[in-house]
Amino acid sequence: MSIIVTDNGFSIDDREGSTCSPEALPPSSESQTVCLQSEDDPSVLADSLDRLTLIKVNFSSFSDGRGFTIARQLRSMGYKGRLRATGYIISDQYTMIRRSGFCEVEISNELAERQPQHQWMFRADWQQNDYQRRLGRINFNY
Amino acid sequence: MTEFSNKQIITGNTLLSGEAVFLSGDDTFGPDLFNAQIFTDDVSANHALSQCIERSDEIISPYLVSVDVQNSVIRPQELREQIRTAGPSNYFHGKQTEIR
Amino acid sequence: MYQYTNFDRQFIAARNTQFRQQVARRIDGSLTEEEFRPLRLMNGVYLQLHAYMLRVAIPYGTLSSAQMRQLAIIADKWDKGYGHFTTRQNIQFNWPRLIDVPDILDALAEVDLHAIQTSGNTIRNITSDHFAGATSDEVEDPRIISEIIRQWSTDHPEFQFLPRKFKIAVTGCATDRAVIKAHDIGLQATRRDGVIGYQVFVGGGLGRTPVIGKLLCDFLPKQDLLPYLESILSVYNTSGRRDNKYKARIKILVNALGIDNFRDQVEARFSSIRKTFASPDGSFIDNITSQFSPPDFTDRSVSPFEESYQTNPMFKQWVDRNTAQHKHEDYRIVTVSLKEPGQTPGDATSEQMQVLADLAESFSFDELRISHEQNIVLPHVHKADLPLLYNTLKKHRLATANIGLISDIIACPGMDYCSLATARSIPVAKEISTHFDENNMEQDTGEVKIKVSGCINACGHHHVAHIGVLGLNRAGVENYQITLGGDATENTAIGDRAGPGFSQSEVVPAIERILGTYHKLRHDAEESFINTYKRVGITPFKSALYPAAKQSR
Ligand code: HEM
Ligand code: SF4
Repeated sequence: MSIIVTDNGFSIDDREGSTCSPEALPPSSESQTVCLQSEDDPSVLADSLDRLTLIKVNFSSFSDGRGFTIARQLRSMGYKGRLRATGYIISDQYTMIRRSGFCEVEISNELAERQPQHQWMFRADWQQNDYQRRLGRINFNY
Repeated sequence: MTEFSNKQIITGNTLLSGEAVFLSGDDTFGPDLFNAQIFTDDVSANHALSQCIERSDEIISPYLVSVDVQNSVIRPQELREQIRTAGPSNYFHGKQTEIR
Repeated sequence: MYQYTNFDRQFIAARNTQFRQQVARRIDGSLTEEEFRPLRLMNGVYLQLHAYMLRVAIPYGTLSSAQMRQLAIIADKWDKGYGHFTTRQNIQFNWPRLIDVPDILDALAEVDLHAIQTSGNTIRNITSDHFAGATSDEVEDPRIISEIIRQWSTDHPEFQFLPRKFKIAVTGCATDRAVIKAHDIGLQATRRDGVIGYQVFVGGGLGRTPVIGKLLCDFLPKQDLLPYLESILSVYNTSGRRDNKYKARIKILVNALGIDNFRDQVEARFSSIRKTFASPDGSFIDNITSQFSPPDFTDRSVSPFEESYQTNPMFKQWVDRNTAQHKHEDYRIVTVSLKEPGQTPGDATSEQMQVLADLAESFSFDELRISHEQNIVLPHVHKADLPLLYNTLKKHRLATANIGLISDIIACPGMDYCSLATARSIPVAKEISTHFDENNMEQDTGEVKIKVSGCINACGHHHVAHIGVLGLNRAGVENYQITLGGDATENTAIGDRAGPGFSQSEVVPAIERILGTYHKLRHDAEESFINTYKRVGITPFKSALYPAAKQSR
């Protein structure tokens, strides 16, 4: 069981069912959850974006920032569904996570204990102090 | 001829101030090289180092330094560590100002 | 110069509060050392050999008097009364305590300074021409886009955890004083059919694999600047190597893909990224632009200058050496040397900083610049004020007339401070400067750029020095390798290795042999060291450096 962090704080993961890799995505089916790794190219999902209800992007380490660009790419490809960062992310990165287009973060219980809710909430004002937006860079907030 | 030496000490920096410090016999870290505990074999040195790595709430980037000991004066073998235990050579700053 | 808005101030204040909490959370265990380290680095805090070091950004090298004064106050209050100006237009304090850093950052914020992104695997402090806005041959003041890029790159959500550090340099004219081709991205303002745009170079860098930047785009229209930069970074962030930190810089990616393939990838991404930028608010850009409009130059008689120039030979020598042509004919650009022979290159005491701040306030429209050559520039000094300025500088040991000469050495901190060093740099620089100053060889030798690095990381720019000195460790002993013929101007060149290294005491004699060879071979005093070298090649210098080797072969 893991914890989901949103602008409203901690909650328990409400998603049932399995998650697959982009290669394992069945050619056509009802709504699906897919998980991208840092080395995956999000453009492989270009034709399936409409039927995906949740895309997870996994961070193998908080110091590997590829997931931020992957999220941004998915948003600029037109994905409007739920986008979740999973793996190893720290609360200090919450602003980056949200501004890159993610809706939420999935963290382990261990991390949630070490970095409790208030430390994440401290960064929930991610719409403030945004240099890029002032320069015309569009944020995709869903 | 100098005797083959396998003597080592443990150094690191304090988390809060950043000062270079040395592990002493009573298991505390202090700024004085002359108090440093001398390890004479790799096994005990590495064991002590792994315990220091656990003490990351106090000490950062601990590592082993090879030293020579003559008349109970400890002297690191490498120039880098000699500078670290003395202070920079361009100013009279750092540990050299505190040597008593 | 750029005046902070409330937005900028609020940003810095929030960031400083975050860092204060990060320090507290490191102490209470919420953050592990592994987690805290990149966070402290992106706020400019390193761990060096003796202590922490705080690297403060001086964006594109421009400082106000009030900012310089605050740096002096910080040096006195939290450090040992001095600061080290670096080749990256930063200032480093070598002795702060971590627990004091939040207060130091607040003190910096009082004068609109910060240490954000001066380290870490992110876009670093933007560097630029230290003569920006004062030189005559400019297409555009490079600080305008430097400031725009500073804002765009600050806390950019995608690019705080890149594969490796990322450095951008900007020049506003064809004359390159910012070594743009030794940066991950180099930008040069250029004009086409009356419209201003930018030439973009990518994949330059020094370090263990020196590479000269390659032309990525010949003319980038102004309005495409940010989406295009974002596209380059986007490709780098997803495709740069992360398995080996020595192969993680963008230069390795560009070389692996080939520049054409790399360009295709950037342009493919640009076609989608461009749509994620709303057309920039014109008034916003205009506002930044107007902040860099030239000061109100005054018309005054220059006769006090003429008189001193005719009668005081020391003053004349200093004017000829340390001042450069200004776009207004009654003004000069003054370079204040931080290279008094025998002193640590780039260091200034708090007293010197205060004096420079006062002088800038009185004589240079409140502006100072930090050059990548580790000197301080007063960009707009009326000629009539030069004699008084000179006399004041002299009183504070700041009037050394050696800009561009042997003793105007760039040196990194080396093993005296840096934990990555393999040898010391500062003592070598001091010996070279003292020796050739005492020999009176400097003025006659003319322009020679000597640069010293204490390890292969090349922070001292030795690759692009006329005479580069690289400190290595050979079996526990400091050993210095010499390179010749590097060039840090628009004719960027990486120096050639001369041969086996020298012990510390052999460095000065080796340089003496190199310079002796130059004196023998130059056509006349007009032919500079680098031009002579380019004409005759390395061979005569090699035989002078290694006479015995020549005989035995
Ligand atoms: C704590 C002290 C310092 C550390 C740990 C450090 C570390 C490094 C490292 C590891 C590199 C190599 C990067 C690479 O090849 O990927 C590098 C390059 C460089 N550093 Fe430093 N440095 C320090 C101080 C300085 C100072 C004082 C300056 C300015 C005087 C400076 C300016 C540069 C420059 C210009 C480069 C080469 C350009 C490039 O990135 O390719 N550094 N530094
Ligand atoms: S060149 Fe090496 S010794 Fe010099 S500052 Fe850079 S990392 Fe340190």
